[in-house]
Amino acid sequence: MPETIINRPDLQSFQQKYGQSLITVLFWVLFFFFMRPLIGMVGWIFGIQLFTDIMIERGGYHALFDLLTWYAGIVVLIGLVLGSWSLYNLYRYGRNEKRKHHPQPVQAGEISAFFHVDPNWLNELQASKKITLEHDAHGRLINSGEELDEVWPRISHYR
Amino acid sequence: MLEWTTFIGNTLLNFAYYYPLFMAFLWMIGATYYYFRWERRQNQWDNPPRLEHAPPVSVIVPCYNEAGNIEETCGALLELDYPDYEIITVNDGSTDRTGVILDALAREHDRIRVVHLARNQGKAMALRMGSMVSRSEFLVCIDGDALLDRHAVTWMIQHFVRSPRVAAVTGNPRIRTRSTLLGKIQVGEFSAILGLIKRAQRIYGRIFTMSGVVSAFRKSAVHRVGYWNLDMVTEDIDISWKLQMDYWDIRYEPHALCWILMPETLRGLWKQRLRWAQGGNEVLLRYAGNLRYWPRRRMWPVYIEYLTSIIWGYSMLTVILLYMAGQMVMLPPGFRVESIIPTWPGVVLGLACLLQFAISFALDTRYEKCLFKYYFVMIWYPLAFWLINMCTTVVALPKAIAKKRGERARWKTDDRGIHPVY
Repeated sequence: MPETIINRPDLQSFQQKYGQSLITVLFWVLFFFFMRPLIGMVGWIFGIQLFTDIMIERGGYHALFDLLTWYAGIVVLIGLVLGSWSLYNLYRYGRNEKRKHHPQPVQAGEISAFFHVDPNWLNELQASKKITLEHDAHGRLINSGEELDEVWPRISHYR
Repeated sequence: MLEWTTFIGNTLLNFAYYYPLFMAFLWMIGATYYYFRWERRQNQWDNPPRLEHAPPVSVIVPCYNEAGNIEETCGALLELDYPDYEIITVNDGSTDRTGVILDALAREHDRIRVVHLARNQGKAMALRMGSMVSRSEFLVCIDGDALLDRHAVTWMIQHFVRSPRVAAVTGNPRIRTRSTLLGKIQVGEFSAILGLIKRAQRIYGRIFTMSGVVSAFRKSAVHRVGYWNLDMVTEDIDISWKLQMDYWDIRYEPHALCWILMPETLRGLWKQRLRWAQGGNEVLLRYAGNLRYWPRRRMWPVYIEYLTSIIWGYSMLTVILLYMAGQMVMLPPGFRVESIIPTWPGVVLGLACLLQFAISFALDTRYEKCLFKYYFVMIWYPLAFWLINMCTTVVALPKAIAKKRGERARWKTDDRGIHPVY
């Protein structure tokens, strides 16, 4: 019986098993490379001299605080802009609905006109269980109006 | 001159580092806002709201060479908890046994109908033909390899019943294929990137695209905008824009779950993402001219967001090329990139990744428990996401520009992950 979640690592190919693991390792290395200054700061806090050059030569934690202040300011600004835009839309469109009534369902005549098919044939199509359609190179139906396969029953009800 | 080159160089570098960071925060803020405004107050996904009147629905399933999946897909559809629906399967000129299987299913089940297209016409045409022969005003369209949750139709249809301005509803695709690392990563990606973006875009008021794998439509709205275009690589992005440019609303319904197969090889993933990027670029090029009108201003945020991501892709590539060139030749001081690995901005970017995943998994635990077990596998993924984004953008834009208008788009998925045969 098929299951919704397919988790079968035993079916992986060699490339999937090892190639993707390699990529994951590379990205984790990259991730920790990004974390160098943080690791440097932690190392500095615990007195590991090896890391102090990053903190001192590159501005140290003062640079971090300055940066975080800027980031926080920009993130707040983004939140305010997004919130204002949302409230504007709510004010502008929330109580000014132009589509107040449900649109009329599209009629068979409109559909047959759009697809350039005979309305009677469209009615037949809509009542058929099995249909075969053929198109030309431009995507136009070329068998519009042909008899449908009589072997198949028409739809009586599907509810 | 030196000042100018320094200014340009710094702007490029700052944009390359800060754009992903601040977009991550924009999506997190938007998604959290969406959650507290709408999602939190709703029932659990397996307890959909009761509809006073459940209108008839036609479920359309375009299939191309789906012999291995279609029985499972139709099996799930036959179990839908909805009172009044038909299933229209459209066999798009398959060369495998799809047609034979569909005929057998249609003979066996009253609800199932089959439309055979004599030759492969592409998904957009299959959807058009399915709509043409459908008997209902409301259409639910899913892919031929997807499993629709039994409550999903009710969750989507409630939007049409309640609001006349809703033209379409997009559901919540969940990944089935989780055997490989790539599969597991995509579980998180669909939560942390796509799920967050869709929620955030509902706060903008307009969404960039519905998920073609699971979406519902008001047929009269789709008819009004001329159905799906046949010449767009991604028909789902295109129809999303056509409907919204006609001032219709598109809703995201996270409770409408649909279980999907995704690529589990790098080659398959690359092909899929390149197609998505090309489709996005095609839409951007096609609808740019129509956006200048003031009444279309609600589309501006999503347009700017996507356009900026294209600019970012090329900026990032320029930074990398400048760095590599700087290792070989002497560049003007302003264009010299000392390191492509940022220091403190890198720390913040890395921590933002952790936060982004934590928030998205927390929001998505409503739909799937134990998501946090994927946290360790993929917290670096947003970094990879931006790199993939850069590569696909750079390759896809020239393809989109070079593509002739009117040229028919046909596609097939050639990698659906590890899928054991039962």
